[in-house]
Order: sequence, then structure tokens, then C-alpha cells
Amino acid sequence: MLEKPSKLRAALFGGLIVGTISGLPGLNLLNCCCCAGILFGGAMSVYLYRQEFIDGMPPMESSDALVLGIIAGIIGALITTFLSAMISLILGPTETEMVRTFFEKIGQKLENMRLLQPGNLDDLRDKLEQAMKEGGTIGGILRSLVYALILYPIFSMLGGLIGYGIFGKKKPKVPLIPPMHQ
Amino acid sequence: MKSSIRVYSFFIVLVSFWCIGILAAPFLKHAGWTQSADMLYSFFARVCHQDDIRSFHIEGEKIGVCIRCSAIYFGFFLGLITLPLSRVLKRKNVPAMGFFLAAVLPMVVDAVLNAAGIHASTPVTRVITGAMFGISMPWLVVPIFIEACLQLNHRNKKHSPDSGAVPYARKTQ
Repeated sequence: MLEKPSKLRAALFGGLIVGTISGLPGLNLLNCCCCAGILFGGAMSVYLYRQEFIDGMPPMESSDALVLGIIAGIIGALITTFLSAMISLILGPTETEMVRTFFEKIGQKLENMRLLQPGNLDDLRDKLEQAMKEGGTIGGILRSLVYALILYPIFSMLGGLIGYGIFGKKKPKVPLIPPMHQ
Repeated sequence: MKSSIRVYSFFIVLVSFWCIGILAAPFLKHAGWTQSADMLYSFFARVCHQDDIRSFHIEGEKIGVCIRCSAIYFGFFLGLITLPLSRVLKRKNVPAMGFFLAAVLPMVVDAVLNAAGIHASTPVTRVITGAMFGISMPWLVVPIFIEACLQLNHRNKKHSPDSGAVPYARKTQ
């Protein structure tokens, strides 16, 4: 019987999906809904891994999905942190100004609609300024990395398990070597 | 069966910690433990927008995640603790694609229609659709998680020196 395919390629692709979705500004808003981007990346790594199975290989197991999800999450966390750091380094001042302008416009709108108390806007502004200040520092990047290394493997693993449930087990049609009966 | 109960209990502990963290943030802030509260808020900010007007409040402070996310997580916890009632832990074939779509579609429709300006999502719709998704997910995820952990445990035992098997031995042709 053939051995199972290596998990590395599928995990790398899954991690790349997680990292791209979570690291790119705008696209990372997907994660605001229960880490949908990370769940998707975990599920995709399982889907891609399943595609690598051919006849004669043992079927994919749930433990493969679990391990794949965790590895994809770790790779995704590293890619996300790297991407975010690079973006804030390259686009730093421009991006900061864009976010600040956007925040002021939305804040004024919410205040006019009386959905936001006057004091709350100042509070939010302080938090935003602090977050933007921390985002560019080594400490901020490290903290992001630690949080990502905790959260991403968990959600990616859940995505992997959901993916395994959805895509199912692929059973080899005809085994290359017939089983021996003793 | 004992091992699966152990894995199931471990899963409950993990989810409980998550839910306690969500609720602890406003209590800590209210009690004056601002630094700890900020750390929790910062942690949950990675998984939720934490919009003040879209969040439940305790003691005047918003909880760690928004209304929809809280419905998902607390729904997941509820689904998890009621799971043994359905005997799904013993079942091998868990519901998959149709089940997943039925659970996730109402939430996606509510969010997308709200974003498109066709229908206004309210706290009630967010709680109902989020809880539907959260409660149903353990039915799909937990049996697979338990199966996976038992497989890994079995594999480790097989490869341990006590078992007599040579670890990571390759078959020679």
C-alpha cells in the first residue's frame, strides 16, 4: 500500500490563504465574523490535501485534518504578522492618515445620528491612536505574533475539522495491492 | 469510551475559558483592573470588531466580543454541553454539507443583506442567526475532534518504546 502524501504542501497553501486574508487591510475584515478567513484557510488546507490522495493510498483520517489545520494556522500566523509589519513599514504614514480620516468621518456620522455618545468618540480616538502607535513597534509586532500564534491554530484547526466534515473521507476505489486474508 | 469523554471534557474546559474571558473583560474593567481588561479586549479584538453599539454591556462596559460573536460562542458552549443528549459522540457519520449550510446560511444572509442595505440586522436577528450557527457547530466538529485525538493517541501508543514497535520504521520492499 502506498503511503499518505506529505502534509507540507497543503498546509503551506492553507497557511498562505490564512495569512493573505488576515494580513491584507480590507480583506482582514472577514475575520471580524468569527475568524471566517482563518476557518476558510483551515478548511481549504484539508480540501487541498484530499486532492493529493490517489488510489492505493490509505484514506484520509480526521487526525490528518486536525494536524493540517494546526500547521496551517501556525504558518498563517507567521505570514500575517510578517505581512502586517511590512505593510505598516512601507505604507505607514499613508495608511495611518487614511485610517484617521475614515475614522473621523464615520465617528462624526455616528455622533450626528446619536448612535455614539460625545465622550465615546474621544475614547475611541485615543484607542486608535494607541493601537497605531503600538502597531509599528517591535513590542506591538511581538504581541500581535503571540496572539496570532494562540488564535490562528485554534480557528484553523476548527476550519480543518469542518472541512473534513464537509469534504468527507476519500476512499480509494481499487487498491493497488489486494489485502491479504490470513 | 472513557478516552472520548476525557477529550470531550477537555474541549468543554477550553470553550469555558474562552467564554469566561469574554465575560471577564467588562467585569475587570469595572473593577478597575484596566490593564488586564485591556489585554483581554486586545486579545478578542483579533476575532471581532468589538463595535460598542453592536455589543452587549455588563456594568456599563461592553463584553469582549460583539452580539453576533457572543451568540456564536455561547451557542457553541450550549451545543457542546447538550451534545451527549443527542448521542452524537458515539456516532461515526456526522452530518456534513447540508447541515453546515443550513447552520451558516441564515447568518450569512442576515449579514450580507444588512451590508447591502436591503434589510436592517437587529440584535435579535444577530442573536438568533449567530446562536443557530453556534449551537449546531459542535454536532459537526466535536465528534471529528474526538475521533482525531483518539487516532493521534493510538498512533503515539503504537510508536512508544513500550509497545514493542520500532518508531517511524519504514517498510523495506
